[in-house]
Amino acid sequence: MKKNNLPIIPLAFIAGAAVGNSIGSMLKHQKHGCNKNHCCHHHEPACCDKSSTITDEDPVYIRETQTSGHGL
Amino acid sequence: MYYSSGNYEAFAHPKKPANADKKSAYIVGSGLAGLAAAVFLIRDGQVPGNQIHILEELKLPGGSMDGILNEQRGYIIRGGREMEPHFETLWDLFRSIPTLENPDVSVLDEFYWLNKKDPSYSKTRAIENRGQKIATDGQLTLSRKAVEEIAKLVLTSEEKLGDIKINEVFGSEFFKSNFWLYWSTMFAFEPWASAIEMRRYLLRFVHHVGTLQNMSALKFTKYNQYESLVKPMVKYLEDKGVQFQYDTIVNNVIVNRTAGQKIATELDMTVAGEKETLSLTPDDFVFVTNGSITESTTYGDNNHPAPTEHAIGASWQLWEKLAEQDPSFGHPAKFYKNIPEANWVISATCTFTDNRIVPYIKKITGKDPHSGSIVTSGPVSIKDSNWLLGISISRQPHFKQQNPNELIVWLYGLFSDQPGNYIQKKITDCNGQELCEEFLYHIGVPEDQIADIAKDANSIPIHMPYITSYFMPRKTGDRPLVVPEGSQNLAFIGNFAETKKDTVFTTEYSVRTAMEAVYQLLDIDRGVPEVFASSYDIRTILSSIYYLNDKKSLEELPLNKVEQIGLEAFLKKIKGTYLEEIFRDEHLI
Ligand SMILES: Cc1cc2nc3c(=O)[nH]c(=O)nc-3n(C[C@H](O)[C@H](O)[C@H](O)COP(=O)(O)OP(=O)(O)OC[C@H]3O[C@@H](n4cnc5c(N)ncnc54)[C@H](O)[C@@H]3O)c2cc1C
Repeated sequence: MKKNNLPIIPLAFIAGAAVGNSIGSMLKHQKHGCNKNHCCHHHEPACCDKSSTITDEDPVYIRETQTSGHGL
Repeated sequence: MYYSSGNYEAFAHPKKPANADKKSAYIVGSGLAGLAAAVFLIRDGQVPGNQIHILEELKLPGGSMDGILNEQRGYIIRGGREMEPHFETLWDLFRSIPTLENPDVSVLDEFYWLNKKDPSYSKTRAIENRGQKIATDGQLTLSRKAVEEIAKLVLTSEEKLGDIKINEVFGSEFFKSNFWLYWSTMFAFEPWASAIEMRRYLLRFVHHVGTLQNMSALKFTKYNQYESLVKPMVKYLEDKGVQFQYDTIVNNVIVNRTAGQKIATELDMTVAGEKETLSLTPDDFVFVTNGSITESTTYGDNNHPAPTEHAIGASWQLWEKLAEQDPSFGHPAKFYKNIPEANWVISATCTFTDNRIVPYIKKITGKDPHSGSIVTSGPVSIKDSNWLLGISISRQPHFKQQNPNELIVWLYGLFSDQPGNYIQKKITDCNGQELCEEFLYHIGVPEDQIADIAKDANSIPIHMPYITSYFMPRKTGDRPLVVPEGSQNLAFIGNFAETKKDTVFTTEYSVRTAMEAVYQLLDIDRGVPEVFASSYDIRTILSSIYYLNDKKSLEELPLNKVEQIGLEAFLKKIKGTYLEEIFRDEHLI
C-alpha cells in the first residue's frame, strides 16, 4: 500500500519544482485581496515586487498594470 | 441536469419530457443564448416551435454576434469570434443546424471542412517599431517568479478570489512577459479585470498554452458570425414556427416567491412603444438574457467619432428589476457601474479598396489578404501602441456581398485614456479616418501616404461602453445561477448567468447556459457536455509546464540545489515506469 503511493509523492514534488515553487508554500501564501501597503513580505511577489520595476520607458499597456484603470 | 462526456451521451436522443406539448417559452433576447435556448427546447425538449416566443428589443436577431452591411455607413463588425474545437455545447448545437446553402450540410460540417482546408497559423503575433515583429515573438518569456504566480492563482479557490483583480495577483515580471501580451490581447483581459475569470481561463484553456504564440488552435467561421451562425439558426427556428417579436422591450418579470418556490407570473413589456403585460402560468418558461456587452453601442464614421454615451439599456434595467425582487438574482451594478475609463471601449471596421496597404499586411502576416485564406489568425498586437491596438483580418470576403477588391480590417484598442502614437488623441475622440491613420502608422505605411489611404478607406468607429463587463471583478453570488434555487419556470442565460467552470466572453458560455437552462426546466434526461476537462489531463498539465517555460525540459529549469537533488531522485525513481513515458512524451525529460 505504502509502495503504491510512492510515485505520487515525487510527482507532487516535481510538479512543484517545475513551476518553481513547492505546492506547500504556494498554499501557505495565498492572497486574499492584496493591499499593496500592507503585505510587503518577500513571499508576496505580486504586491511588493521591487526587483523588476516598471518605468516610463515601458509601453503603456505595461504601465497601465500599475493603475486601477482610471488613468496614469 | 447532469454533466457527461464521451460519445454514449453525445449521440443519444433524450426521450420526450413529460408534458412537453403543454409548455410555452418566452425568451428575452435573440442573441446566441436566446436562439440556442429555442433550438434546445425544440430539438431536445420537443416543445412545439409555435409555442416559443423570442422577445427582442432591437429590430434584428443576433445580439452581440454581428456583421452587417449598413446602407449609410458600410460594413460593420463590432468583433470577430475566435472559436475552438472544445466548445462542447456549441458544436452540439450547430451539428443540428443546416447551412443556408445546403440543407444536408450542417453549420458544424461547413466549419469543420473549412478549417481543415484553411487552418489558422499566425506568423507574427506581435509587432513594434512600425511593423517590425518583436524580437522575442513566439516565446512566452515568463520568469520563474511569473510562472510561480500563475501556479499560485490556479491553486487558489474561487471563493478566495472574490473581487480581486488581475494586477493584485501578478507582479511586474509577469506583466512584462509575452505571455501577458498574448493572453491579454487574445482574450481582452485588462489588468484590473477579475482574477476569478483569469483563473477560469487558465484552467479552461490550459490545452492551448502551447499554441498561444501562433494561435493555430483557433478556428473561424466562413463569413462574419451573423451570416455564418445567426442566420442559419434563425431560419431553422422560423421553419419550426418559432415566433420572433422585435421592437419588444421586456421591462420586468414579476416573480412570485412563496414557500421557497419562485414562479414568474407576469411579463411587463413595451411593444413598439406601447405598454403590454402578459400573465404567465407555471407551464410558461421564461429565459432571460440578463445584461449585454453590446448594449448602448454607438457608431461614428470617417469624419465623426462614435458618441461616447453610457445609457443604461434595457438588459441592465431588466436585470436590476429582477435583482430587486430576490437576492439570488445577482448584483447587476457590479458589471455595468464604475467601469474604468482606461478600458477597452472602441473597435473599428475599416474597409479598404486601396491596395497600397497590401504589402504591409503581407509583410506582417505572410499572407495575401485577398487570397481567401485566413489572414491574421486572431489578433496581431502592437506592443508599443499607446492604445494597445490589435489588428484582425479574417478570411476575405468577410461578407457575402463584399466586392473582391474590398478588404475589411478589424481594429480594437484596449486602453482608452492615452493619446495615440501618431494621432495625438484618445481613441474615444477619434473619427474613423484618424483611427485608420493610427493603424497605418503602426504597420509601417510611409507617413506621406497615411492620410491619403485613410481618407479613401471607410472606417467606422464603434463605441461599446460595456464591452468588458463580463470581466469586471466579482464574487460568488454576483451572477444568478442559470436556474436559481427554487425557481420553477425562470432561468437566466448568457454570460452573466453563473455556470461552473466555463469562461465568459465566449460563444460557448452563451450556448452552455442556454442548454443547462432548458435541460433543468424541462428535466431533460441527457447529459449536458461538461466543460472540456483538459485541466484534469496530466498530459496537458505537463505539456503546459513545458511551454510555459519556453520549451525547457525539467533539467533545463532554473532550479536551486535542493530542487536539483530532488529532481535527480525523482527521475531515478520513475526510470522505466509509465510516468517516465508521459514526462518524455511531453518533452519534460
Ligand atoms: C467585440 C466582441 C468580440 C467577441 N469575441 C469573441 C470571441 O473571440 N470568441 C467567442 O467565443 N466569443 C466572443 N465574443 C462573445 C460572444 O459573441 C458573446 O458572448 C455572445 O454573442 C453573447 O450572446 P448572448 O445571447 O449571451 O448575449 P447578447 O448577444 O448580448 O444578446 C442579448 C440580446 O438580448 C436583447 N435584450 C436584452 N435585454 C432585453 C430586454 N430587456 N428586452 C428585450 N431584449 C433584450 C439584446 O438586445 C440582445 O439582442 C465577442 C463579443 C464581442 C462583442
